Amino acid sequence: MLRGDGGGENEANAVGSRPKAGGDTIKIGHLADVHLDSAFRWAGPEVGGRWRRAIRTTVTNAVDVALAEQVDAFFLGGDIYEHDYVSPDTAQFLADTLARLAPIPVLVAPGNHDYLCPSSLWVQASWSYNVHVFDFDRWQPFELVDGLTVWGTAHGRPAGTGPMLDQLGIDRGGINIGLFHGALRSGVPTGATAPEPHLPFDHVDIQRAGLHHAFSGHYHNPRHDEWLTYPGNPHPLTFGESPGRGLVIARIHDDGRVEADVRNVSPTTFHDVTVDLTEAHSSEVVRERVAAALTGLRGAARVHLVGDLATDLDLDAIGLTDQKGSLDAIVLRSSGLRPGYDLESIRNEATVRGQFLRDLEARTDLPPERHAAILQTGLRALDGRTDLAVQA
Amino acid sequence: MRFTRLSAPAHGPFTGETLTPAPGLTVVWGLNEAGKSSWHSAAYLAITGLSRKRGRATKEEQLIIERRRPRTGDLWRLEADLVLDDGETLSVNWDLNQRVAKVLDSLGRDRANAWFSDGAPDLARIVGLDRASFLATACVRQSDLQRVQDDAHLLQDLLQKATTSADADSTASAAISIIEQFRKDQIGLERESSTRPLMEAKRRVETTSQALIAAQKAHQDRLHLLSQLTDGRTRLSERRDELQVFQTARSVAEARHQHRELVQRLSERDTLAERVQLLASQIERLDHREQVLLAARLHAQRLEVVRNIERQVSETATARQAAADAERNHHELRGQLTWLQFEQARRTAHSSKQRFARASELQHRHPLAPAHPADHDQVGRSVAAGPARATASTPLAIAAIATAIIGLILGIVIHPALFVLTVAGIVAAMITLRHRFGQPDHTDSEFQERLDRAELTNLLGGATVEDLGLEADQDQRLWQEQASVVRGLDPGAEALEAVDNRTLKERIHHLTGLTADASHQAAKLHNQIPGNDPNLMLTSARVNTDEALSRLQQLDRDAAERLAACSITDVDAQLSTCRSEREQRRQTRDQSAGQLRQLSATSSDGLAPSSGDQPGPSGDQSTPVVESDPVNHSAHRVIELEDAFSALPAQATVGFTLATLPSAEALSSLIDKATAEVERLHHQVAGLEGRLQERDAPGAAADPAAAVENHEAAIRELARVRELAEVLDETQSLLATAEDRVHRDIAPRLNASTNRWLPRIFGDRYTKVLIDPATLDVQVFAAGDVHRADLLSQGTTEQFYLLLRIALTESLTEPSGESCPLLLDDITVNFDRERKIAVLDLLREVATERQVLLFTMEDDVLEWARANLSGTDTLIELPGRVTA
Repeated sequence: MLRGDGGGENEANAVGSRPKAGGDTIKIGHLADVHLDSAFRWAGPEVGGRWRRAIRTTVTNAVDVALAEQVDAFFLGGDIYEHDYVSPDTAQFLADTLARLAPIPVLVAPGNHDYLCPSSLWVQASWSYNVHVFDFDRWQPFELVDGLTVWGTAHGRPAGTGPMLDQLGIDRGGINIGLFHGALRSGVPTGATAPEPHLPFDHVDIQRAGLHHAFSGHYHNPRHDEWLTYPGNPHPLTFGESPGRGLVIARIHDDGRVEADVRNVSPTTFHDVTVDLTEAHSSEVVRERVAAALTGLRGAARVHLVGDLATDLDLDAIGLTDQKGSLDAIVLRSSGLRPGYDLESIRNEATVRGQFLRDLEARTDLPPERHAAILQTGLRALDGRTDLAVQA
Repeated sequence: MRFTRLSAPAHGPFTGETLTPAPGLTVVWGLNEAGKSSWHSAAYLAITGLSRKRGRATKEEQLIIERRRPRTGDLWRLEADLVLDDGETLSVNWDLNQRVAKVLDSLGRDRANAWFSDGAPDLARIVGLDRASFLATACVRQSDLQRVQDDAHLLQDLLQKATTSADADSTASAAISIIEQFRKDQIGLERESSTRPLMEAKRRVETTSQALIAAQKAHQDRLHLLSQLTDGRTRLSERRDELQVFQTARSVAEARHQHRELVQRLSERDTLAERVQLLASQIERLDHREQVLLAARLHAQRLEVVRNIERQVSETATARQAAADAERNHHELRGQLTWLQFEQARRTAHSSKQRFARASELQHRHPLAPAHPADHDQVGRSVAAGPARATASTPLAIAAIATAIIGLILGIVIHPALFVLTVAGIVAAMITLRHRFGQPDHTDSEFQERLDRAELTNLLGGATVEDLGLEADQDQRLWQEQASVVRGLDPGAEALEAVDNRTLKERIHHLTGLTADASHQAAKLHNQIPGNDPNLMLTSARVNTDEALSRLQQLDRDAAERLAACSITDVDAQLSTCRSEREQRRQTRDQSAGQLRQLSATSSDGLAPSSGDQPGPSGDQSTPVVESDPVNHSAHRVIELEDAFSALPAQATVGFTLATLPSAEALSSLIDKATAEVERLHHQVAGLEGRLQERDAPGAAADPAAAVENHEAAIRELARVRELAEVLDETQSLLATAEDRVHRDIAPRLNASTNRWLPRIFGDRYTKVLIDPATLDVQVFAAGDVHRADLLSQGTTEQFYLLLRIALTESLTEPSGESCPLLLDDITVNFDRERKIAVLDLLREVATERQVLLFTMEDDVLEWARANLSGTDTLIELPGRVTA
């Protein structure tokens, strides 16, 4: 183990001059893509505000874990906060939180959402002595311990940061580690933006640059391989995120190998829950089924309602979104519901209803959600019902 | 689909009865309360059962439940055997209380779930209907016919409902109306005055958009403020660094200057100290010299006293001799004076006598009064003219005249007597000339007279001749008195004879002064002769002189030899010089000592005040003491400051180096400018920080994230409303299209079906039925006239109604491919016999295509059945009346 005999002495050492405590492994904590002050566009401001506070708790938890793990350094791989939404007290929060890690060095590589500029929080805040923010548009070495150098850089703009690994000129031996916010060209997740404006790179670039490993941020899908570690966003930002995101606790061996574990530090989870409403002929049954599916969950839940919805049930009247329990919010998705009509029979009717269904089914230009909404609205209207409002 | 068996284990009044219909037409005849309607409902319920739909039951179901639920027992059960058109058999077993059924096929499989509606098995689905539409088409009750009278639009309504949906509870038009109303309530119009959701959502979007813009602008302003703050802080830091460089540079310059000054001051101070010491030494020597000179002065004083006394002794003798000499001189002078005064008196007496004599002569010669003064002028002119006339006179005359003029002038100037003598001489000369050069003429006499008068006047001088006589007498007496005085004195008269009066007078005057002086001198010299004997004082003074010399020799033997010979004046001069020099040196020393003290006092870098700066009580001067190696200390300080300067990162940007350091004054100017700039930037930064603090105050800070979420929520709501509007529009459009299409599709078929049967019932009375595909209005053509079918007679309308129900059943069940049984209950009650037979015949024909169960209480129908039914048709006569 690296630590053990230098803790007391380290308090007197300036950042960057901490002596290697011994052993052959350096333990670091790596966090990225926190997106403090992020706007949750799909949620209201009340829920959004609650989750913004939860993101702060995530950072606090990450620092607690790092302290408990007795890491030798704490890496921040960019997009720690949202420059466009940053609140006035975020700087103080981060400064206070990161100061708790002193004398453990905190190395910061600002990303495209928290890029370095005169109004940047990284420039404005009064950081404790253990916090080192890498400059933009150039690589800076930071000798973490004797024989282990961290090379970092920052984004200086929200977009337009081109490839930079080819500019990295490593001038020393030992273990060289990269810390930057970049986009792996070969690993663009589904739905992610194009990598080019955000410091694009490939695995081979890491090797060519002479780095033993790169700790990065940008993609929210976690990734860890021989050359690269993406910790992913530690606090959920939307539904449907894969697990395994959070604070990476990595061990850098003296031969440059990196082993990593992920610690969940988020106080909340975004759940995707599916509830089948088939045979649920009463609102009570529907509520019971949804409540059962949400039991014990915290955070937010996106409830996918599927199955056959009894024709006389009105989901709006049932008020499922009020059934939050210990959750912060519930988001309902009913596009998987089928109206509780015998469509096969109706389709065969020589009636307006049958014709309506056949005509509707002939409309292939309609998206499924609208198709379902029209179907249910039409059938309910033909039933003489006035509760036509349906959720897509 | 057709019944092969219908059993009622528990239904209405039945407790296990069974009905076995024929495949074609089955006429079930019975009396009132024989159970016809119960069997009719049993047939209906055996196919459709009861729905399990939540909420209040439909009116039809409610009626069935009320009328047909067994009055005793807990069971409500029905059983039926059905044969589908493809030969498949279904055995149905209903528990109507539970609204569940088992529908077993020929293989014993329960097919109940294959035909389901509203939560319960519904075998009407087999024929493309459901329990509601089955009830509205294939199941015709007497009460349905009775409604024809009550509803003028019954036929149209029937068709619309039947063609709208299987359950026939609503119409397409009603559905569209519902949608329109819903749209009105839940969407509203897109105009400003609307308060419905669409405009509310748009307004909220607009409001939240503005709020978002404001929040983003506030955020951008804040970021801009932060940028300005960063810039200000950076510039402030740079200026402070620069100021620090300037200040350090000035410290270096000052330290260098101080070091140089220190070195110089140390040198100056050493010099000053040496000078002070030298001056002190000189002062000390001068003090000593003063003592020596004072002693010498005392000695000189004593010596002076001795000399004075010696001189006094000598002077006493001299004074005595001088007094005697003076006395003698005085006497001599007095004697000379007396002679002179005697001579003067004699001459005066003689002169007075001569004047008196002349005056008397002239008086006598010219008794006239003395000449007027003008005569003097005339005499003068005459005197002047006289020579003129004697142009050829001798030079003697000229000399006489010149002499006379000179004598007159001298007489006037020097002495009147000389004047007189001169005049007399002139007269004498004139007389001589007169006598020499001829007799005076007449003019000469006058001239002589005038001369005489003038002379007389001159002699008298304003007196009289008598006065002159008295004066001559007085002078004579005085001369005699003087003669008595000078008698016995050295006459010397002969010597005085040659002395003229003026000289005599001058000698008298001189001698008078000398005599007075001699008298005074004699008296003075007598006074100067001391009363005491100075020789006694001389002895005492010489003792004192020896004592003073001894003291002088004690102080300085060498000086004593020199000074002993000096006079007190010399000593005083030397003493004055000594004191002056000493005072001068003291001033110089004090000045130097002051400078030395000032040097020490103003020095903060190593020069300690020296005790030598102040002369000690004894006048000793100490060497100034300097702190331990202040020069090294100063030099070290200079080096330290230079190192500090070199260590400043900003020193590289200020444009000078240690080698090219500006002067302290120039640096002070730079510092002043930099300080002012730092102050300005400090105020600027403080202002920006204040603005930022004000902006970031709780409640004042913009929350762009919340604004985005608010705006997004508004956008979502607007999108939802718009989406709902589009869904409603699409639905409405689809419904309208479907309605139109169905009506256009079913109307011809209904027309065809109805028109096919029309002659069978109405003969030539009504030749054609036309159902409007747009409105489903039923119109009939009779003898060229067009009538609304529902406005015909009760029976005729019921007959059209029945025909339409059969046609609808055909049309609506045709797509299923399965024949739908017709369940008819007392439908011919209001028909006349002819049309009743026609209808029965028609039903028997219809029964070749689908099973028809006709329940009736009419005897003529019974009669018809008995006469016409056989084969696939049958008549079932119910026994008596059943027990309720």
